[in-house]
Amino acid sequence: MTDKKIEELLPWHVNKTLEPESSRQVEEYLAGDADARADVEFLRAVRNTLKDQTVQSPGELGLKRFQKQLAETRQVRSAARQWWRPALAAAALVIVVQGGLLVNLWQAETYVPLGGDAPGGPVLQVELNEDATAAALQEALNRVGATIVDGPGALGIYRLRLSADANLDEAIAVLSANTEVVRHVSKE
Amino acid sequence: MDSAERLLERIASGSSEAMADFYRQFESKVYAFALRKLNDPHGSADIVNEVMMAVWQGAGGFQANAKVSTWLLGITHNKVIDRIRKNVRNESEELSETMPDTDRTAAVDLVARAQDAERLSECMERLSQAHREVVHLAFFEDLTYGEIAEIVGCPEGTVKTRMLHAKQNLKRCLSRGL
Repeated sequence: MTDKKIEELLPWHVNKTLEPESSRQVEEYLAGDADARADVEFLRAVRNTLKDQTVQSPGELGLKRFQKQLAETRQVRSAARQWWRPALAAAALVIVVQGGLLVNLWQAETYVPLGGDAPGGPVLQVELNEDATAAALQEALNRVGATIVDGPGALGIYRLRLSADANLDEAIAVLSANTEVVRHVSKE
Repeated sequence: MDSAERLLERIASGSSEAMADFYRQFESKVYAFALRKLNDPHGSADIVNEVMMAVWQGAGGFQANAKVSTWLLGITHNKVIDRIRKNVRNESEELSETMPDTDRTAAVDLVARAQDAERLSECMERLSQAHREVVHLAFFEDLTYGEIAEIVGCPEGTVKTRMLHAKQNLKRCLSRGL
């Protein structure tokens, strides 16, 4: 190893991280070179002084600040993840509506009432909870005998048609009470 | 307390408690390194936050064969570099890399001056950021030149050369007035 290479290793001789073979070569070099020994003394003094310096880090206050920032980040992410819930509910509704239409089409080809279509019942406007699941919505509709005939519109409003013999006020009361699914319901 | 590696595993699975333990274990190391590079306590505290957030988001990417402190100081290095790039600093007082070494007759005095914490700090601050970080990692963290090269993202030969220049510049700065 050249003198220059040895000189380059002196700082790591001082911090004691050299491999044994390199360390042995440095020791040999130091034994015969006063300048290099003076260099080592200087580097050792620098190291000791740096290590003795106390650093006042943020500590527990910094941790509190970090935890607050972490909580805020999580909230933002959580809110960003919520977008799929109403989308999922809307997609489920589309499936239900399409299913209904297909059944109606099939029935239309097979059974045609002589008297024409039965008249529909009253129509309601409902706004659904964004957390509502497809299963809960289906159960709510079945309970009052309603089907979705339109929606969601730009404001997220759905139109439900009750069966002709349904009790309008009772249906509104039942749907209003189902806060898991329905946020708001009114007559059209 | 869990090992640093185990803490990272728990952080990767979303444990806030493990994150707090990790923070307590490593924040002073991150802060000291950032402070050495930036010379700015407030900026360094911000760096601690940014680094810990990176740990929270990237703990799952930690390679088990790596050393946690090397990985962490590498993140710190990159965060500081980003900050410096955003706030380009005037380093006109930075000492030249090609200045001559001091006379060996002053060697004893130089050792005495290197033991003066205030004077050494002044001279450390006048080193370039690249020189300062190598001195810090070698003498404050006691890392090998290979680990330092990994942290700062340069060849081992460059680390050794930077250290050599840093030593010469420290000597020159400390010898003023001798």
